[in-house]
Amino acid sequence: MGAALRRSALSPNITDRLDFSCALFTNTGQLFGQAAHIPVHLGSMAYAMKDLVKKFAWEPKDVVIVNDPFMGGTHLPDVTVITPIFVDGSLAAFAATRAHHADIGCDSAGSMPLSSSIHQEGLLISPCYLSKGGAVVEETRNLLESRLKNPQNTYADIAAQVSANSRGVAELKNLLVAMGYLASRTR
Amino acid sequence: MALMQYANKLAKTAVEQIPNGVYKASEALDNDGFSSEPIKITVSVRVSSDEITVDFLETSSSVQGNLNCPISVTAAAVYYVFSH
Repeated sequence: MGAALRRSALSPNITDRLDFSCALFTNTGQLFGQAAHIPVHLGSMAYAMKDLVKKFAWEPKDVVIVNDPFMGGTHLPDVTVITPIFVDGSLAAFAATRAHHADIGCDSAGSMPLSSSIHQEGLLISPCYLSKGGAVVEETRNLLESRLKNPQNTYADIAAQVSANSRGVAELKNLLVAMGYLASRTR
Repeated sequence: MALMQYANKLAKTAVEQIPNGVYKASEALDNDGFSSEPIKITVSVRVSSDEITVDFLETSSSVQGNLNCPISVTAAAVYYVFSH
């Protein structure tokens, strides 16, 4: 997942500075697999996923986005993308990535201003669908575009996170096939 | 599930090796960028049998600048220390 994210992203925050993390969670949001990425990303995702996953009626091809520090986020540039993993029609697990974006719409240049209010630090995204059943949720896209200075690049890096999650979904299914829990490859 | 039970058992066994008691440490950040006051981070770690309580009660309260730490990030820092 991490290699896919690094290769697909545009921002040097992700491609060179490697400020991103990937993990897999059970269908109740309990962490069961993590890469050796950023400890503060992984620990805070692990702390919050149980509450986050309860907030949605998950369906195949949904993707949820969040950066709210009061809902398990870190700081606003760290955007989390969560993809459910369905096996034989039932919710089995989640793939999640968190990455530090170069532009989250803060008041000054860069992603971390000297600020005294969280709203000076950029766009606060409460947990919401980035896509629902495979279709882009325009409301969320508009929300991002309303505040970001360079929405195209940030959106591209969010898409890279979605791709990384898809890789996690596919590889977990491959593992289930290899272990004999799934009859055939069902990507 | 078995993996998590195993991890739980390993962690509890490791904690049991630590003598019971309260272990305390303190450190300070220079300031929050708005005032020149140092920001104290004090932690008390209480070990009791196979359980540990990590207490940040004596840490400075929240500051005007952007160094405040939500509960999930505090938890992440604690997880990290105990995974090493």
